[in-house]
Amino acid sequence: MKIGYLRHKWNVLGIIVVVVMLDVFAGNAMGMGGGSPPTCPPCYDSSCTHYLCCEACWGCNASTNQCSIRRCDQSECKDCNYDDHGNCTGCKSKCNPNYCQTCVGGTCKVCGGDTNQACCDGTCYDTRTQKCCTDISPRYICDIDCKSCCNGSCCNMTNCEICKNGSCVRAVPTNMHQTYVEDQGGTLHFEYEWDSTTGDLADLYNCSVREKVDYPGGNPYYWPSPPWVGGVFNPTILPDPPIPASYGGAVDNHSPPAFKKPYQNASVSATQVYQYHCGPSCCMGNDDWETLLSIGSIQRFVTGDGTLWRYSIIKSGAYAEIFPLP
Amino acid sequence: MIKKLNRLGCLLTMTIVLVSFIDMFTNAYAQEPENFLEWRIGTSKQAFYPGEPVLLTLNIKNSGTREEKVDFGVDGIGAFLMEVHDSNGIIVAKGEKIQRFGLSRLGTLSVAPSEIKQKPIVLNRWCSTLLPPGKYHVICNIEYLLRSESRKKEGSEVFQAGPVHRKQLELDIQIIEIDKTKFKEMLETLVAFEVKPEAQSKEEWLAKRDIARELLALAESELAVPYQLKLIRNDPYTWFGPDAINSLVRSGTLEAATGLMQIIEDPSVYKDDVKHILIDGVYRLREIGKPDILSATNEFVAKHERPFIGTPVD
Repeated sequence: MKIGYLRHKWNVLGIIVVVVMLDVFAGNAMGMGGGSPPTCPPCYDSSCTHYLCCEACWGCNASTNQCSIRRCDQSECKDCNYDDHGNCTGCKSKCNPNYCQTCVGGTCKVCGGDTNQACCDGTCYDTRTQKCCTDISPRYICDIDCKSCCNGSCCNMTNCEICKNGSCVRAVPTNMHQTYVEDQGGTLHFEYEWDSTTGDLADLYNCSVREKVDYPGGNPYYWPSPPWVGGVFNPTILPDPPIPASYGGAVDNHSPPAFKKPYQNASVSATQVYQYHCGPSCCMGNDDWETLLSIGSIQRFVTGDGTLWRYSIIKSGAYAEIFPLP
Repeated sequence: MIKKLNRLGCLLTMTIVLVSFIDMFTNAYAQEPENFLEWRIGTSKQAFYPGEPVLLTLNIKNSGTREEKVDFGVDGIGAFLMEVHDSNGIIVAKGEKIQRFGLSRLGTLSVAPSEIKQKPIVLNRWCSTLLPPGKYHVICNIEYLLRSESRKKEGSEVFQAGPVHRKQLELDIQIIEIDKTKFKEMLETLVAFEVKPEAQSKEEWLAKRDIARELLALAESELAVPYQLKLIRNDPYTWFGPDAINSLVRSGTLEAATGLMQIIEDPSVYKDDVKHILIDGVYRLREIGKPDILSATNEFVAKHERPFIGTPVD
């Protein structure tokens, strides 16, 4: 009897405990959202940070899109405002401005939910036209098109700027000058050097140098024949490919064209210019070659009196010859 | 009086001897500055795989008292002629002087007194190393100028070049059976130079990368094809682009043809000024006449006319 009474008493107590627990649990649930757990708004992660209402979804079950059992702490929801149906309508203080969150329709949304925008240290940018530079903190925004990140600045690549020691500097060849000229048996041998606007030739890794020689007449240009034979591209653009500007110097040999007998007096004057190009893309357009050094004329002559003939070439005041021509 | 005469005689003799010595030294130097240059040639290793690029290093020591500037001709390679002989002394490969037109790299090497300077050159530029395994003898002929022998023309800024000097250097190499894995490893090592190491200055890196690129471009093997294509794709403007294209053409592979076509038709590869060289490469591959290359490139050649690549004079 006693045992039976006690068993009954424990049973009653157990029921009460369960009821109380359910009540407590249900009370919380009812008190906050009312009824069964609400359907989760779009869930982003397992924390409340990005939820529409923290009480509505504290640990979302991804498969059912239902709120899990655990509920938010009341204090976490203090800034939420609710409508008559218990839906959160405001969440201002829950939106983190560092993540560019704004409250849209009761939801903290990055950059107002615009899918073409992203957040860069609290500033929204258009991912189609801009990029977030992560080279320093705080991060900053540069245009994708022809701008590069540089220690808080955006280098203007259309001006051939590169980032050097934390600053944007223009990197192109400059100051091309003749360093030596030699007569190598009728071939005029020139040596040139140039500098980099940054002071470091290695910064010219994107730049090339070439020569362009224009001959009078069409393309191809045929040498007066005799005394010469054959032709050249007009203009003649060499070398192919152009020489890397990072070499800082180059040789240019002007050899005589092929000769043809019987010799006769003739002269040809061409115009030469050395050019540079820096790429790719932004710095200069595909066909944009800037003048690095304008030489002027290259003159070639064959002169003689019928018995002795002389070939000569003049460029930049330098002269070489073959005399007598064989 | 006699003593005085003796002293004078002694002084005169000493002066004559001293003057003669000075004259002898200056004349010796003025006439034969090349005698003060000691030349050696070597490689970093003895054995190479067939088609492997062989880097030859010239070591030039200046034992004179003033700086010498050695002119190796156009692009620094115009002065060289190469021969490879087999163990019976028969010439198995021969490379003549290389000509370049228009601007080219400075080809001089300055060697200060008591200094040893090095000049790297790649044998494959002249002679193929696609040879049967065995011992070979390389003969390197150099026809160079010395800047110290150039004389300024009267009333002019122009120098007259001095005489052409000739030097013959020799060394032995061995060609061994190919080990494809190790050959690939060697190529990978060269490709690694494309990335600048943190600790290296940009200048030092670019110089080393140039040698690596030249070796890679001149490698003669189907195994090198993907790496050569990668080199062209990474930097279509590389000075060694035409060398790489020549090697791709020699490989005669479908991979080379399709790789070139992909680079040409890829709008993200910046190549306007060199596109014609690439297109010409596809046409040259077709000339080999392999059916697979022909069928794979038919559509391409219908779209891209063969560019004219001439031999210009400027």
